[in-house]
Amino acid sequence: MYQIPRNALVLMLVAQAMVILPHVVRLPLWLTFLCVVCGLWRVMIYQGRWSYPGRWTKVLLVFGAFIGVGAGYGTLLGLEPWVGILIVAFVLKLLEMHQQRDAYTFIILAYFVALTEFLFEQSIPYTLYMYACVTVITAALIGLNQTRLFAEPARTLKKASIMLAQSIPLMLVLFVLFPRLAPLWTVPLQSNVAKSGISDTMSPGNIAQLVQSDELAFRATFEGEIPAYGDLYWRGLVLSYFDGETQTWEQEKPRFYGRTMRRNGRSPGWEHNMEYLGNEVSYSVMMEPTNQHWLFSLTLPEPSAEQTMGLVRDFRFYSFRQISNRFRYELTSHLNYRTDETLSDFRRYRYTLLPRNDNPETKALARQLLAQGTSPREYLSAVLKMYALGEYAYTLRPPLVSGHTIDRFLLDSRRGFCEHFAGSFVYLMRAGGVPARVVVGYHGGEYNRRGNYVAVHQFDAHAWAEVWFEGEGWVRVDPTSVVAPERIERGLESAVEEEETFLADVGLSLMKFRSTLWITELRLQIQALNHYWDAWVVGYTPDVQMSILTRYFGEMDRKKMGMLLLSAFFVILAVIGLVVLLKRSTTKLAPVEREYLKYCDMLAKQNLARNIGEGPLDYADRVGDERPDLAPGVRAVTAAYMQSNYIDDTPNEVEVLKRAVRSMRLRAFSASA
Amino acid sequence: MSTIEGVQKPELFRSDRFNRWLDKRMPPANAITLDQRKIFIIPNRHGLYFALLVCAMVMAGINYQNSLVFALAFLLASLFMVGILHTYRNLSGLTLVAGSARPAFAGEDVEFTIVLKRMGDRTYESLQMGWNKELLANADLVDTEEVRVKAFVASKRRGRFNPGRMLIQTFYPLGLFRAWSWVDLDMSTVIYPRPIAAGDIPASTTTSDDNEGELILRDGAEDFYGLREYQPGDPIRHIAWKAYARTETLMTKQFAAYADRRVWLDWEFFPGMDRENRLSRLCYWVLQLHATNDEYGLRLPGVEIPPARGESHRDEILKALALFEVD
Repeated sequence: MYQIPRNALVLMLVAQAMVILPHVVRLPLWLTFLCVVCGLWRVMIYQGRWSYPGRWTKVLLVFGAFIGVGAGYGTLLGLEPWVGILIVAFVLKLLEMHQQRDAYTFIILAYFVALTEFLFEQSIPYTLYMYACVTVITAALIGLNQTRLFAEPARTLKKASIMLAQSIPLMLVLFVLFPRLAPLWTVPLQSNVAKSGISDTMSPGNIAQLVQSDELAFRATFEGEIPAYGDLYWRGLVLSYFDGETQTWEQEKPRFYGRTMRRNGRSPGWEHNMEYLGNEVSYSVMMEPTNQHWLFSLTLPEPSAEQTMGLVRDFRFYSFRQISNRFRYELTSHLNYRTDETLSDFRRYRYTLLPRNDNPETKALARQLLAQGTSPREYLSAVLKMYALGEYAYTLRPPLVSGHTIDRFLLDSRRGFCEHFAGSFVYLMRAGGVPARVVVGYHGGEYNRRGNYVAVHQFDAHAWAEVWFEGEGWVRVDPTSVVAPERIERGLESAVEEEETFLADVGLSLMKFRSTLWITELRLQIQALNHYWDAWVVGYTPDVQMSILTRYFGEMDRKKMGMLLLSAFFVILAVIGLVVLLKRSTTKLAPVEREYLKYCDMLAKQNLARNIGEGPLDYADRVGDERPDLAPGVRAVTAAYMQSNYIDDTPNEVEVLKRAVRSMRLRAFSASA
Repeated sequence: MSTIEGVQKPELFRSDRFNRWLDKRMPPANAITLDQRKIFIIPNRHGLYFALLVCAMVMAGINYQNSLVFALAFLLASLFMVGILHTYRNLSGLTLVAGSARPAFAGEDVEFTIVLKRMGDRTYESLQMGWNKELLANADLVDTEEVRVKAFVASKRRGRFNPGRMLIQTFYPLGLFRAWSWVDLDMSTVIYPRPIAAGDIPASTTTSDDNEGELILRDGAEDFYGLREYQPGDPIRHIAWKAYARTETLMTKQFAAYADRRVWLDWEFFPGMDRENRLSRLCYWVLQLHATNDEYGLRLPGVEIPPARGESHRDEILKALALFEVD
């Protein structure tokens, strides 16, 4: 029976453990256990203590594992169960290695399992780790082809590393130039694991919850100057329906919005409601996956060139595809704008709609405030004044309230986070008959000088309001800015400084050390590196490829790209071939021999090459006969050579020879000149 | 192959045309250095599977639009290409020199020694060579400048035997490619007839001395007989030094030989038998007589070797049997 060489087996087991390790978090516990058992079993087989499982044991294992995967994930469809099945096959293969062929199958499975890790994780540390795995797998493959005599894991690993290092230039050529096609068929994606991020409903407390996270939401790179911090209102969702039963703000039904607007698409019929009034900024956003559809933009955006996203009636973007991978889009926004100069009766009704018999005290309060001024503008300032003077406090730890939450907040607790202020504010405006709506998204961000981008994190999540005035359209009003102006000027951390609640629930976060300069510098460097990685490596999409290739090689078409790819590929391959195949002589010559060979070369150039097998003395005599002018030098060199080579090879003698050769060279040079 | 040939060829080669092409491309020589004219390389079955794996990975990259999946697929594709170079490198520059070849009896495996030499810093690992796919010899050339490899090839019939082109191949390092060459190191040896037991040697033909079977002690004899006390004049090389170390008395080793029989092995012993059977039986007796240290000679039609004894005499007779009536 075929016995895997010990060296290869060790490498295979190590490779398997390494490859499976990052998957463990997603695997059912029993599968991890199975991996360990199979590994031990294989070691026992090698030691001859146990034997391979019988056919029925194998059948049982395979079926059991299938059922186990199905039960563990609740389904056999989807990415995670598939990877689970792949891993089952991979570990059971250990127990079925009767032929060399089986060992190769194992290696191929190992490479494939390594690949699947990239479907879940794409960060730099993971990538480096996976390349370490690939090195060990390759070493195992080499180990299969070594004779026992010269097989040690360290030596095999070195060979694998050298070969992979030599492969990298070719890989880069392929990576940059290989045409990236559109997906050929749909594939199961990672199941919708809950991702932190804003949600499409807002009730008191849920944003305060979200801002406890230091996860990245998106990064924006601006062309030109970055707008003032206070202007960085990243609109994500518009919530304009208040559900009295759950006391939450929700989105309108999709039909309320009508057609979405795409660049060069069909006219949606409402584009005249957007007026751009200058202060244009262009930027690109690289969004972390949310498994949602909404995108973030500064108001007022132009329609995007991206075909998979459209502008919705309330001037925010919607992605037709779920954002399950990092998604990059480019936008132009005009910070000065006018929208919806007029509002239809229906829309005016919807934007002032409140549930009947709901939050009665707030409604009474609105009537009271209306007495101070009847015009919408006057009413607005009365409301804001109430927030400013009413002893309201901005806190990350708002007290829990129940029942009519807006009544309780406005009149009793008076302590709240942005969603409390935005929600109650819009409620009050509507109660006063002014169209208003809640906007959720992010505000602010951290500028990374190294990477020249603004990073927006979950703790930048924010809710504010938009109020409609006749002739002015929608105007942004942020009640939080009245209560806690530092939140809008400098961000959350300074707003809750005294409270010391910033990221209080996160264990260890570099974000907490924003006041320590070197940690901040280090963090920004790491983040900038990650940004470049995400933008140029992970984010090397067909579009990016096209734009880069066009920038360096002019207009691109398929044919030109193919030619470029092939020529670069073979040029690099030729260079690697030279490196691999060029004969290098490593037999180090003694200094004496080296000097003497120099002398021989010198004479060879004078057509006096030494014959094969000709001794130094005979050679010297022959040269002396043919070229009497060189005779003294030749004699000196030969004497010194004989002396140092056969009698005394002290450094001193070598020096004498060196000098003789040098003076000989001068003479030969002057003779030929 | 027809009845009997002077040169036998193992059945490694399918077509004569291919052989002719090979002979032209790499003529037989005692020392051959492998280079691009002589090395062939092609992916094997595992190599094809590996290529399929890379294709599947590229597909996954396309469908998942995942750059890192692409990167891994491209890394393995590049490794495949680099693997070709390394596999080729594991043969190129290697020098094969014909070593010794031992005569053998027909039907036995003949042992040929090939010397592998390397130059410079190149090392060679996991080389397989030989004439028979089931009997390939393994060799590594890593920490030495040269290595002697014994390869075996089955012989079929007596005569002068040239094993023909030898296969040298390697799968190292990745096992995804097979690099190989057919080299003819112009080696040959003599295959003796297969010995066939033929019973006792016909008594009438033995010409023995009267004192047959009598033990005689001689200085030139080879078999150790016993020890006796040293007497002046005994050859020094016969002194038993080990015994001296034990007993502290000088002893002399005595050698003895039995008086010889002188035998003529004759073609005419086997009337009516065909040539090969006669030779096989004669061969058997040669071995028997050599074992009993008898003097024997050989008579074949047109060949006569006078009786003698010893290894070189035996080899001479066996060679005469091997090459009798061979073209």
